[in-house]
Amino acid sequence: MIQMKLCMVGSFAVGKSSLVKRYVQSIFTDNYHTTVGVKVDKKDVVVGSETVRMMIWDLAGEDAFSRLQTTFLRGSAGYLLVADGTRAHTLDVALELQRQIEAALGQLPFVLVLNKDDLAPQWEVDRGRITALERDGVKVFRSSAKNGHSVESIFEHFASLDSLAHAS
Amino acid sequence: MKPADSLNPVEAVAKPEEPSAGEWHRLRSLLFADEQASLKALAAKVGDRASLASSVAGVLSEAAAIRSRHDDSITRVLAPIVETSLQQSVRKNPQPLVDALYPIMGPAIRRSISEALADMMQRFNGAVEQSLSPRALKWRFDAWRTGQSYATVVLLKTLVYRVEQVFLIHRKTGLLLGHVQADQIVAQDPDMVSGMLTAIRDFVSDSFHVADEDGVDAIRIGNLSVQVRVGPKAVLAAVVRGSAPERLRVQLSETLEGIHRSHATALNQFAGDTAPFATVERSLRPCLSAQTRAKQPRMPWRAYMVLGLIALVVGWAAIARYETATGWHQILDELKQEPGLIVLESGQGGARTIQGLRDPLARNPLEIIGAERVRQYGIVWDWKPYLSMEAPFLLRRARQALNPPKEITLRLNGDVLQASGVAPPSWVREARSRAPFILGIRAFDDGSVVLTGQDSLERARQMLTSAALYFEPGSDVLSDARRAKLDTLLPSLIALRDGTAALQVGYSIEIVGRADTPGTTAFNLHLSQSRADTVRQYLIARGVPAEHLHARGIGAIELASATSPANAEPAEHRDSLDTERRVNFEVILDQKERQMDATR
Repeated sequence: MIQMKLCMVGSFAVGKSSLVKRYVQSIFTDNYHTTVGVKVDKKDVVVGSETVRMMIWDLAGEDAFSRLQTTFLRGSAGYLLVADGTRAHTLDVALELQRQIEAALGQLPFVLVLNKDDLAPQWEVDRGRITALERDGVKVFRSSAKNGHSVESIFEHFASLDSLAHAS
Repeated sequence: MKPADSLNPVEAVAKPEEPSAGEWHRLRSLLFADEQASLKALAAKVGDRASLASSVAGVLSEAAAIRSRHDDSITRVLAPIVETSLQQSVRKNPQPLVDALYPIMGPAIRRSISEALADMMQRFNGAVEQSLSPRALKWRFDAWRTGQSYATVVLLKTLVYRVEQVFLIHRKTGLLLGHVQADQIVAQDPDMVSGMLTAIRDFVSDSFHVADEDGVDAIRIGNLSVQVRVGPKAVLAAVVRGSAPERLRVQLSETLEGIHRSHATALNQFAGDTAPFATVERSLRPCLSAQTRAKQPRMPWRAYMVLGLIALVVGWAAIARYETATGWHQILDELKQEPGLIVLESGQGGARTIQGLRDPLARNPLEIIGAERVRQYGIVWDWKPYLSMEAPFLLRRARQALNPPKEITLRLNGDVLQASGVAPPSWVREARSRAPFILGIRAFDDGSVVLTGQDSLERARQMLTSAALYFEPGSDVLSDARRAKLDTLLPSLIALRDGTAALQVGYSIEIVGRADTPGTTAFNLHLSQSRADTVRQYLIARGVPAEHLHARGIGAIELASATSPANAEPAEHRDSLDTERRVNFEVILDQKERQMDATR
């Protein structure tokens, strides 16, 4: 079996936890975020004939002023940068976190997840900015906690990245 | 040898003219003679199998020793070879292997058996103790209260320590490489626990700025602890209940080191694929050790008590059964010994049954055994009638058939029925006619029977002795009346004859003649004799045997009148006649004489 470690980082209240809550196996409560600072969940994704087991490290919400505990990201195969589409500054924080991670651990595969897609009319993040990021090679997902499809495809994206890495 | 022509540019420049092969050869000989010789020797050594073998043989064991210190590849290589060799050896001839193993097999088996027995005894004692003692009841209550199984509660209460789970975690990613857990442990998802454990260790290292190697090596929560050993590539974490001994820490370290050795490549190149670690569980499992409170080895008295109790019950049952069996056999013996009973079949499947033969004259089996025992053993029997030829039954049947008087004793001599005692002749006659028809009796011997008949004899004697025959004065003539009177005595005479014959005694009748007082004594004597003779002659004439009759005249006797018998003649005769002119009878029985045949 292939296993991989994935991290989820993002600002406070961007809906990281609720984003994955319905799609992962979990034995730990959200209290771990405030105590240890991370909560580990599990998600099995089938790619082709292979099952990829993802250990998802859901890191506590950060803001621009606190230093990210990059130790938690050590050894991960990739990470999800989660931002709230209705609050533009969460995207700033996310990009800041991405910069910190890259500084600490070098380049790692990541995707940008813009959450709260269901509240699209109230979005502060404009389309142009997203397009610009995509042009820079950033993989962007629009998602909502209510939209299972995009959550599954985020995990599948990583799973296929990993199995490609193993195939090569 | 390849000529080193163009390899030497210096020489080529110095000497443009090509030297001959011979010159080259000579030059090489001059320069490298020693090396060439040793190379040649070396080549010969390597090329020749025998010398190569002896060279390798010289270092083979050292090489093996050095290699085994580095890894277990020699073992891995040799294992299948040894296995195949053993298989072939056994297939070819198992005897050498049997001989080799024999000295160790016996002691090993004996030891194993004795250990197993001792262990069983201890376990049994433990089980008895744990199910009977007050402490056990309390633990059962705890188990019921906490919803845990009783076994778990017992384990927790008696445990010094137990390793419940062991995690092998990839150090960098926190991904789980291997996991084992003890039986009856309910564990959370080990993948997530592994991740979280790593996160906590990271958290602690980060928070207190310590290097990962120096970080958390134990987490303790009450009675539970997580022992952590950190290797270069992997982390071993053991969840321990109770207080872990020092040797467990050593064991964990050694296990982790072993895994680093055996899975060095897989650990170095780990990128998420856990397949190479499929076998790591085998290394982890020995870490799942446990230790219960060492109990003082003591007499397992509870076990002995329970076993003793069982032995007592079994013994009691056996004795009862034995007694029942012997009782049953005794009943059969008693019945078999009883005359007139033949036990043909007896069985004790369910009810006890007896089938047999019984002479109607035999004792009732119910009397022999007693109704109490028949009920106790639940005996059902079926007796068919038969006639026993045994002596007691022949006698009993003879007694029934002959109905002897109580003075008669019957005996059996072979098939001859012997009677003794006193019996009337009629019975003897009857018995003689009946006895031959009694089954099993051929002849009847009544030689020892004394015949009765006294009554009739006595009556006859009395009749005769009381009778008196009167005569006219001076006459010895029997008148018609006198003859008639004599005839009345004839039955008594016959009775006398028969009676004495039955008693086997002799008899004689004295006919005593008398005369009255007038007249001379001589005359009277003569007259009285004449009168007696007359009567005797008459009786002889009537058929009475003469030899039994004796006539005697006694003359006149004055006192005779005073002894007039009661049974005398009628009064009219007496009135007119003198009672002294008469003839009387005296009966004499001779007991000594005896006739053999009573009925003749």
